[in-house]
Amino acid sequence: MNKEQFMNQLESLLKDIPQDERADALQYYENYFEESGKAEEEVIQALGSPGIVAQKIRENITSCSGTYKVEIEDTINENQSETSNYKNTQQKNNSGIGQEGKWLKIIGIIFLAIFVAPIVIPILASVVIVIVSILFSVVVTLISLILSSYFVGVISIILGILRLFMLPSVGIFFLGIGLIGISVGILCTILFKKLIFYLSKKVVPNLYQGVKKIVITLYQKGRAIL
Amino acid sequence: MVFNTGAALLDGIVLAVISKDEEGTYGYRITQEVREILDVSESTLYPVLRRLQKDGCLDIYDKAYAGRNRRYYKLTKKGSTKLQLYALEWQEYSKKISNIFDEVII
Repeated sequence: MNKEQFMNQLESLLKDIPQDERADALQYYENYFEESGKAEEEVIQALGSPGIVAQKIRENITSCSGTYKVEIEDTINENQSETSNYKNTQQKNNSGIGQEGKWLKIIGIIFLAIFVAPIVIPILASVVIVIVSILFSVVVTLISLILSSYFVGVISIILGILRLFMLPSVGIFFLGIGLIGISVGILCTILFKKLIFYLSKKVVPNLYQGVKKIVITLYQKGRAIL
Repeated sequence: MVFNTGAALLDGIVLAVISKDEEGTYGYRITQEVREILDVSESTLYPVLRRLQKDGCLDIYDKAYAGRNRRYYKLTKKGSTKLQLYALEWQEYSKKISNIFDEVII
């Protein structure tokens, strides 16, 4: 099928829709073929048969006047009933408690502000800081382990090479120590990489989520009281 | 395409794509850009554009290009307001879903 056949079929399939709609749709797809720059068969393949294209156009026209607007009205009605429910509950809250209730609320807020918040927030913060510092010290220890092993290893190798010419056994001894030192360093580097990976993928995000959850829960509870 | 794209979400994405150009864009280009985001058929876009235009969210104007006519679609004020609505709604909607899925991923 070429473009001309496609457009002719499309036009006849749209005979039953209003003239202006049909003209608009035909112009759109006429332009579409031109803009595409691809082979006509390719475009037709991508669009689908004229039947499919016409079907989508027709569905849209009927749904436009009908269901689409109905959906909007439904959501508006839903929103209205939701807002009226909300207003009702608000009124109930206000009228049920009365004057004494208002004072209780204010006292509750002051209590929260003076007693709970200054205690809970620092506790939360210090727990987080403790956890972070533990992790930090582990990381730092590992780093120093790695560096020192490499250092010992290299120095020993150098010493070993120097001694090798005077006292071969001593030289070999130091060489051995040096190699052990370096391999310990490599091992620790690998462990270190794994630890960092594990921390960044699992521990840190979980910690962050945990703290977030606690903060959000506290905030919501605070708002609920208010 | 695992999840079905509802009409509202499609409208929102189309409006968002068009909003990137101050002067608007033309149908073919809109289709290509939307298809980078969603796996929709190329014939799906025209009805969406038509509906948005009839709802007053899009204005159209014709501009000649390389000897042929191009129909440009541009956001109206109502269109940009609707787009804002869709964007905010999506944030709310997707945040909750992302949260529950994030907890599940191993």
